[in-house]
Amino acid sequence: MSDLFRPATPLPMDDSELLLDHLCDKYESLLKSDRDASFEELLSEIEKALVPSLFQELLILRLAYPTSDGTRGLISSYLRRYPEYEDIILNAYSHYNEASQTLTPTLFSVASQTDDTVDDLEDLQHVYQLGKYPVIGHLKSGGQGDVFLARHPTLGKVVVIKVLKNRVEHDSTRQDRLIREGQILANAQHPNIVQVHDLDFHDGRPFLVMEFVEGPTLSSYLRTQSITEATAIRWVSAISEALIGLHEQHVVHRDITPNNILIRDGEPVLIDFGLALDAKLDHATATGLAGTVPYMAPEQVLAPDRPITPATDVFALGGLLLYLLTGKSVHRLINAENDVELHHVARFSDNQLAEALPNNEFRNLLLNCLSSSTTERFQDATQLLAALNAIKAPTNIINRRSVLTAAGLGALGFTAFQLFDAEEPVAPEDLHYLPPPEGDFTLVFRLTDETQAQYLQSWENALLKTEEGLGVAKYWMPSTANQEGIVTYRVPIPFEIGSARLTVRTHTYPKLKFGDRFADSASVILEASSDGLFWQTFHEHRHTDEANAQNGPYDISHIVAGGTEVYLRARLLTDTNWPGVGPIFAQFMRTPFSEEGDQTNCFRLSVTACGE
Amino acid sequence: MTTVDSSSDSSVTQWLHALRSGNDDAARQIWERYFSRLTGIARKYLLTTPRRMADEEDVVINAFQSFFHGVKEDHFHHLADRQDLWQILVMLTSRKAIKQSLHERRQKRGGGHVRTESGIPGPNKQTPELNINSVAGAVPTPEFVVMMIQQCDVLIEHLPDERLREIALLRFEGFSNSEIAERLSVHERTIERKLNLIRSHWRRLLDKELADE
Repeated sequence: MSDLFRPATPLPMDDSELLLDHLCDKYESLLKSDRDASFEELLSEIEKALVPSLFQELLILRLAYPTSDGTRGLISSYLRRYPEYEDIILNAYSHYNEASQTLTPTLFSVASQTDDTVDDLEDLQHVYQLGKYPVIGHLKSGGQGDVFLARHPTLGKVVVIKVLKNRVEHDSTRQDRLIREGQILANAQHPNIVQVHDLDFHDGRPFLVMEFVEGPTLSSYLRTQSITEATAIRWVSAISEALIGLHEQHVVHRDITPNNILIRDGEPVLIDFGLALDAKLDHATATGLAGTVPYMAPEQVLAPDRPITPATDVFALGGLLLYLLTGKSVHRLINAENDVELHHVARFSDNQLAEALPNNEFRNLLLNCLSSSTTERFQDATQLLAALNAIKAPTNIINRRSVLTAAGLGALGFTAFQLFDAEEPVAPEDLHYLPPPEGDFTLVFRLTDETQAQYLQSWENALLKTEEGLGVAKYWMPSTANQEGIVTYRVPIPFEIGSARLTVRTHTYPKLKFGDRFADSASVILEASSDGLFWQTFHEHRHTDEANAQNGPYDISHIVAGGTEVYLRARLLTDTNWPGVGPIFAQFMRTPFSEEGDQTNCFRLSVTACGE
Repeated sequence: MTTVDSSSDSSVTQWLHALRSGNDDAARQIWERYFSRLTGIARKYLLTTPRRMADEEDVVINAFQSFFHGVKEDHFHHLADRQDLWQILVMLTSRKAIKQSLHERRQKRGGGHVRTESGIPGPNKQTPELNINSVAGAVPTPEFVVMMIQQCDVLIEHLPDERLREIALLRFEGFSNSEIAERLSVHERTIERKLNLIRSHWRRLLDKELADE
């Protein structure tokens, strides 16, 4: 080749730019294995001039890879820690697709606007100011309007603004009605609904200023997490309770869906009251369909000009409960081909529900909620809540892909895992080169620094330290909200799982008392995963059931089939509140298993609540 | 230059002029026309010319072949992006072509007679700027394709790590950022970041070439 093409003096690539790129790569590979690292540490490795660029890249990556609980780090905590990068942070958030999805769930929204007031609407996407609120970013355009991230002009707080499509400037009756509605919404204060701060008008279009709720949507949350039936009931009850005051004043949300519920600190928060306002407007204009079809009550679809009552929300809450319990929306359950058609033919029969739900009490309640006749349903949230309270919810885990929820901790004993069989132990050094063994086998594994680092890293306030080669994670999370303890362990498997049977045995030690408070409420949920992301429950037990009980073996082959490693974990769950008087310890220990042959390679997972 | 209408409207020279004068729209039009002709030549060349030694492993040739074979109109959309690697490659190659023709002229001790494919006559021949047309000009030549391949070899080789080389080649093959991200199991942002790194590096090479002239 002609030397002409060779640079006379090789021009090296800019070292600092390369370093930035490598640091980002390093961070991304951590995130991909569901770990995290401190920004400070990475930022300290690069020259000052490039720190803002690196920060921006790290944040974008951080937002791209949600942690196992479905969150991406809270905007408020970034703003607090890095006030100097406020622009970068807000920019990254407002451009992040997921974030906009969590804020404006219009996935199935149908809002066929026919009236002429929408024809000459200003394109709001580049608006800089809405009323007195400076706009940070446009999040989403939906059938019902536009959603923005904005800032309170004096208090500096980040808020969400939803601008509705309908113009009301020439209609004082409608304006008055909107203002009245806005007052009712602003006065409704409940931890399970978004707080409405303000109602104002932009170019004749009403807009609602709401609290900025951070968290994954219920539907994205449930893609990775599992909940108990008790939690399902508790969540629907919480939302019902939050709606009582509004229903009493005839305000109907009209769009309760898994995409309109965010999970904040393990609790559901109903967001987006855009349709609640629009509801009244629609009566004047008869603009047609508005809502999310699988959760819309028949009267919303079939007779949009008929008055909407709180019983419409009852239908949606029933659909929500069904979704929580079965993972299916109403139209899926009856195999309807067409969302809208569904409501013409739908008769939710006992049989169809019976197939999906063995528990009879749920069935009766759901049949009521999902009745096509409004008069046969509970009339409002108050009645529904009473019925929900009457159900004694079992705490079985609903079988779907899982991770964590909320929980406290408490009367938890010890749980031991033993991946076992007996016949032919596999030497760890031969891992990855062996053909699959026949039948069951014993798995030998060791704790390493790497595996210790696997767990609890993403928990804020979690302190991770190592003691004598044992992984010990300790976190102090005094809180009145329910919380959950979780420990994870990764075990490499020497061959592709699938042809071999893999079983797990657990051992429960006598419960530990924590006062008397948790004695009846704590459960240990044992889960396995092939990738550390999608978990399936293979056993759950309550610590009050039996002391010192051995359980299993549980076959987990189907959960981890096809992989070469298995992740195991225990989640500790309680339905009552954690009073916050002491630390929770969760630790892995390498310890003899007290009654079987070879003891040394067993693995014990122990979780202890202590304090006082 | 605001209009693009002469028969030699697809020259690299005109394209560079348009870019320099900030006339993005004209630049895009010239580039698209130029590139679609280049595509025709390159496809024919790559099909009919015996491949270089060890050609099975010749990553650049392979990338070029898959690109020029598969190139469709919709590829031009992202090729029209002035940040695209193809544009940088053509610019760099053109610079080299000019250098080479100057070199040849000097060899002939001021003969000033340069092989021209387009046969553009007249006083223009006297300026180095126009000589580019003989190699990289309105009608792209197989020689230019060869130069491009050589230039690309050097550029790829010059990248400091395997990942960057891989991404540059995939981009030359015409894959979009999201396709590359999926293929390499990383976030799209990572691909964007690395492409920026590659671009800024190659642009610096280009600047250096220009400064050397």
